[in-house]
Amino acid sequence: MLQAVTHKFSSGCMMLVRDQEDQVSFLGSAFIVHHGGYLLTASHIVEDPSALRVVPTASDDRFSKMTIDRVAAMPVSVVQIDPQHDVALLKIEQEVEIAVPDDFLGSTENVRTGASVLNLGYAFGHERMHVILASNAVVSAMIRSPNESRLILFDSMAHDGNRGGPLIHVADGHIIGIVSGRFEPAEVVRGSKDWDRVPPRDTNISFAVAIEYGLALMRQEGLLTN
Amino acid sequence: MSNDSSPTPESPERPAWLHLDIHPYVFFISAGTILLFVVLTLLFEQHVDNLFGRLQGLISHYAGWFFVATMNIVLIFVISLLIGRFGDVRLGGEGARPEFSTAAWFAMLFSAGMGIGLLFFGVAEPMFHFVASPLAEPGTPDAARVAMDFTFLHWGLHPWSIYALVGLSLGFFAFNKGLPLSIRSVFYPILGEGIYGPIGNLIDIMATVATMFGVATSLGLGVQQVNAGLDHLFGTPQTTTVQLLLIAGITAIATWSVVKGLDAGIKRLSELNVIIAAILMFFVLLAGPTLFIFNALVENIGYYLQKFAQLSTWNETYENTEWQNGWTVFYWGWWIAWSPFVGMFIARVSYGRTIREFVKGVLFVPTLVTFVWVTTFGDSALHIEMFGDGGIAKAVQENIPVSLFVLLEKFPLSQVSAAIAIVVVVTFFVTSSDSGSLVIDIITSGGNTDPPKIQRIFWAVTEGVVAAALLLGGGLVALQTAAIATGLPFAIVLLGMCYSLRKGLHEYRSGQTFKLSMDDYDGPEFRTRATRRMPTFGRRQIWVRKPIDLKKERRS
Repeated sequence: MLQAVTHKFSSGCMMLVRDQEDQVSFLGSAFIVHHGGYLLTASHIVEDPSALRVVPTASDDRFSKMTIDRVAAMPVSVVQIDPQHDVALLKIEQEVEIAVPDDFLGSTENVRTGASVLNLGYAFGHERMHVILASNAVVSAMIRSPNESRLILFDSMAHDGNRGGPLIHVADGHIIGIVSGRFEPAEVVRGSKDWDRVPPRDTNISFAVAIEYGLALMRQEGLLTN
Repeated sequence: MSNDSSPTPESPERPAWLHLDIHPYVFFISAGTILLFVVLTLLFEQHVDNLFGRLQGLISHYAGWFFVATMNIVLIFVISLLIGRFGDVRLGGEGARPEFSTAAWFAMLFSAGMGIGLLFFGVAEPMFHFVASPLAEPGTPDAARVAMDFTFLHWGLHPWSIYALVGLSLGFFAFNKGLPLSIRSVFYPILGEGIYGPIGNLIDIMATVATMFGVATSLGLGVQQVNAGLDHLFGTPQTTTVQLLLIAGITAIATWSVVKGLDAGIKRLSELNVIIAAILMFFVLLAGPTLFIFNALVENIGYYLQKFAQLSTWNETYENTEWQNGWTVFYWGWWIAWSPFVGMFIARVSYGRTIREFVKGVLFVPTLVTFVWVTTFGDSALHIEMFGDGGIAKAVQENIPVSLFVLLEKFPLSQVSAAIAIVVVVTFFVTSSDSGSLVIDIITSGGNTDPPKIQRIFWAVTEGVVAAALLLGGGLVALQTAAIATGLPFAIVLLGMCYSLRKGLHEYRSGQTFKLSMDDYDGPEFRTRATRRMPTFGRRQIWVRKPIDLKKERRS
């Protein structure tokens, strides 16, 4: 089950990078949601929407090289963004042939605490590890954040490169969330201006925002009819 | 079912011709072939009879083992789909939902799949095997046990596995791959676009003609049986006029049903049919040897399971007899010849079911119902024959359709039960006839699941006319033999279907992923570099409390 879901979704996952002359620096993960070249990611990693590109990595799945020295990166632009709920819709700016499976975008409606979920992303992309990592978790809680965003907490450790990757409901093989980051309640509680300086505490709980926020952006873009 | 609210995928638009939706080659060549066959049969009945009778004999003799092997291979294949990894593939794709309730679905499956034969052979077949058993001393308890087991074999898992295979293949290729709902579509993984060419047309024409002759000849032979029943009950004379009137009546109801469509016509009739049949069965269960029937049901199923491998592969190799050709091989040929029709109908009503649900529903539920039915009727007859005053075996050998009425006479209220039996017989005919017409309509319209009404009327009436013409001119048996003779080529087709469906499912599953082709990429390449991480947890607006609306707060 986990294996089938991982294989189904990993080729839809891409590295999000920023073009800096002839080099690219890694920002996070993004995933394909539409055959017209649209991807969803977390909005906070594309706050600066300039010179964004995505890199598909060849996924032959068998002991692939950890670091790719030279990559082909396609330019993307941010077409819709919702910083309140930490989602952004990107579009690949060049002609590219994409096929997507039928019906892979889910909803959080049928998700319950304890459900098995899978999270995909380039966990250590910042450290030049250009390989997708799959991790398995259960839904720890479903909460609303201080600004009323619906969040799914899950018990695997999202690393910095996981942000923007998909959270997949294993039982029915649908994407139900967009990974936002590690859950660090202490930082919220502190709430001071220099909260960035507090070293993150190693919780192994991460959080994703509900896919509905991403679907709303797709609807605004006219990609979904209902 | 109206066109716009239909959840079933419609076939691609094609130019309307006189407000019809027809596939020109399939429609006209099928109609022509049917006409030609009927005329030839009427003119040279004896020759046609001889030709197909001998052909059927040769096929049974030389290819009997092949039929036996095919049936078992298909059964194993279908069970492998049930437990295998394709079980959760849904006909019509992930989002599809069943068009009919489960109860209505079962009713339609059962009415189309077994129908009339069960009514007559439920009594007759165990009797035949009891008095002439190939594997036991005739007339002994052992013969009774073996007789029930053979009947279970012939009406049990094997025929339903054939229907399940054909139905599943058609449903999968039509609803999940978007091909027309037509027999040709099943060969897409093998023939590719070739299914739209002459080979595809030929396959569809064969299926149409076989379905027409299957349904029309059973209708013709069936009304003779109904007439025999009426004669036995009410002394109605057995004349061609009565039989023609019966054909006209049944055809009229079937035409009404098929014009009304699946929802209003066929579904309701099937439900009604199953309810009346259930009433008849419960009547026999209560009026007959109730305890004996319950005992027998448990024992028969146990014996069937115990002897399953032995009997389903038995080829009378060492007995060196010809018993099997007249029974098992005949049945296998018959089920296979009917499979395009029943399979197509099952596919049409199974939109939105998963493969696992489909196999459970098509393989096990009807089999179990059949077992209960056959036990109720067959064991009641056996009880009378073994422990009562007998006489059923003799009646069966004289006239099969009358045997049901002879059995009912042994119980109280026989006038009422016989009248119910006649109604069941007629509704079973109607449900076979209307589903047959619908299947032909769909094929000859090139796969339109909701063909125009005028075409439905045309085929439903043609069915009655063919049956009537053959009844008047003779040749019903000849054409029925011809229909069964198509069992051999179809058996080969079935094996191809296993391969094709497996391949199709495999491609479907592996095709369900993201694909991205970078072959066209001609942009620059970039060097990757290590990047500073951005610790930003708290900065996200998610964690910023909404400003409290003080005015609103004060109001409340």
